[in-house]
Amino acid sequence: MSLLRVDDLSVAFGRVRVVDGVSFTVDRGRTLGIVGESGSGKSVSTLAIMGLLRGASVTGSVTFDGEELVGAPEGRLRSLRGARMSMIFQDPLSSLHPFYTVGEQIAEAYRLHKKASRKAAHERAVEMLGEVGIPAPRRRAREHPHRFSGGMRQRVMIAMALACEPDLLIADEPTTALDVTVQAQILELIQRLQSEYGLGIIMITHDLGVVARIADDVLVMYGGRAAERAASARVFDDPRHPYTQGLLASVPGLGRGIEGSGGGRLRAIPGSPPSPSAFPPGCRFHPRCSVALDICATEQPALLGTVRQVACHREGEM
Amino acid sequence: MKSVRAALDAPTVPESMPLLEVRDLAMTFRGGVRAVDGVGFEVAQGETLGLVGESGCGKSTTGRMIVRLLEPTSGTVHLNGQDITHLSQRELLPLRGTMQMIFQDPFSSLNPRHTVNQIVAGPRRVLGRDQVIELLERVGLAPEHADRFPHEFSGGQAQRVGIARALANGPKLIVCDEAVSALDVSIRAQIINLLSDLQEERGLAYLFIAHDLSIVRHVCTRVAVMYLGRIVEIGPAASLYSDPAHPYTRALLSAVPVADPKIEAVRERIVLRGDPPSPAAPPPGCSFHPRCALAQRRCESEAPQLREVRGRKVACHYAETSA
Repeated sequence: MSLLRVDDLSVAFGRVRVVDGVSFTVDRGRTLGIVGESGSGKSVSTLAIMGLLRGASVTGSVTFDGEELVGAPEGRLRSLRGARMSMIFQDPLSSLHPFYTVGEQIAEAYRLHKKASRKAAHERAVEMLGEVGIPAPRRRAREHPHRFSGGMRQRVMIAMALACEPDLLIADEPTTALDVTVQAQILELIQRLQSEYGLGIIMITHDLGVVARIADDVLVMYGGRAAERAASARVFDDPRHPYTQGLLASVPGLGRGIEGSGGGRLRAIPGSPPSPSAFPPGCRFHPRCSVALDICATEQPALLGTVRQVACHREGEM
Repeated sequence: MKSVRAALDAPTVPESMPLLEVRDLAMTFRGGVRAVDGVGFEVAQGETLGLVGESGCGKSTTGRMIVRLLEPTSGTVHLNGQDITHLSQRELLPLRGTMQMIFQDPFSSLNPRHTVNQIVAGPRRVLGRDQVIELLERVGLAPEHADRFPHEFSGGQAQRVGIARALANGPKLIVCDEAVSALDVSIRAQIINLLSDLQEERGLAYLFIAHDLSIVRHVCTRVAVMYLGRIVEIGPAASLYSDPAHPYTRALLSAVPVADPKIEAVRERIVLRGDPPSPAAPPPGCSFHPRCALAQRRCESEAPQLREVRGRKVACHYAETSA
């Protein structure tokens, strides 16, 4: 049984349906990379999984370790969040409270979920800070977030997310705001913790390099829908959806490493990603697609396939 | 963006004189923070020099001093052979056309109360409406966009407006400060292609400031790597990427994730410990030594100067041993 199973998930804000029928699974010890541009619905889908979208209408099914989360009471979701499923975000500073020490903030969730004493929770916070590679954790636990650099704050967030030993970690662009050398440290840390704790991870990112580095499976989203879903190696080796192909061709130096990316023109996708309030009919990618047929403008392609799923009317003939 | 042809055709600057020459440039902010500390390079007509480094390395401050949004504390900037380092804003006006800048966030660099026509034509209306429309079409926008306001555009379109504005006075040099960093992947490729076409057509030179090393490799002829206010390595992009000589350049390049799981699986990565130090309190000697795997006693006290190593300039005492 998969740790997380998402079936036909849709999210609407009023009349605007920003996520439309998305399905995927995440297993223990594995990483699913969700890739997409602005407005693709990648962040909203995961917020819906966590039950963090007040005022949105969420339909479909989200099963976490066998338990249905769509429509579950808020109290139940609250006891799962932070304990068995955790989330880290792009900007750690806006998720950390400026008034409390980082030790207090890590300890708080641990006390709440594990019914631990103040002292035990503080010990756990110090232990976690050490675990994520913060030097002198006992001293640093007593400091406030502003005393930490961007990379160190992201480590604090990871310590907080993992303090209760969750099964699922959702990471929403966790390294986008960081410098490359710090990004390398954080990705390495996430991978080490995954193998130690057997975490299932959803990594949301726009950076195909990050996906190539850490994802086992990839879901490519476009306009609120799944365009392609397969094992990472398959997606990068032999992308089948015209959007995936275009996305990979937009990145300099593909397949040759960073040394081989000099000069020439990039094969850019024309136009821009659609906004959720004005998704085109039919296949949402058709206005930008170089191989679109008449049918693409009217009929939505189904996501078909077993080892690899592609939502394209021309799948099979190309 | 390597339009050798455009550079050869351009008659205005004699080949011996670089379009832009920067010498010993330094910027000390109030409180004694040395953001830039003795940076020097040249940019020839029609070429693209990449300026890379992590946050706080001084790459943007360098760019701002060159277009004189900041006045350097010391050092010189020569444009077309003219010393512009301490010119007054009034004296700079005639040069503003020659030298332009494109910013990371197009929205905050476009006046929200002005139409695109007003923005591109400029405060002194140097262009007529027809010329504005011609420029808009050149950067991939439609004539009707001339009467719209910045908020009506997507990020990619707004960046095109920023490019049209930069082109208005027929510049020779454009400083691109993270010009494509905030854009979606597919839009980024469009803008890079546009910049490269414009370079070919008009013989433009770019100083391309960016943190994304794969894009820099794609667009630049030469690259300068900055660390804590100094250039640690500068040379031709091809050899600098295939055979980096400074340990920091090596670590930086190895840290960039490549969009190919096969390469990622076998790549050797140098993961640096710790964060870049603060420019307010740079370490003594070589400022990279606390994070450097090759550091020796000498590195703690003696700051290395840029010197010739394997066809480029490197500031490392042990650049030869590290190959």
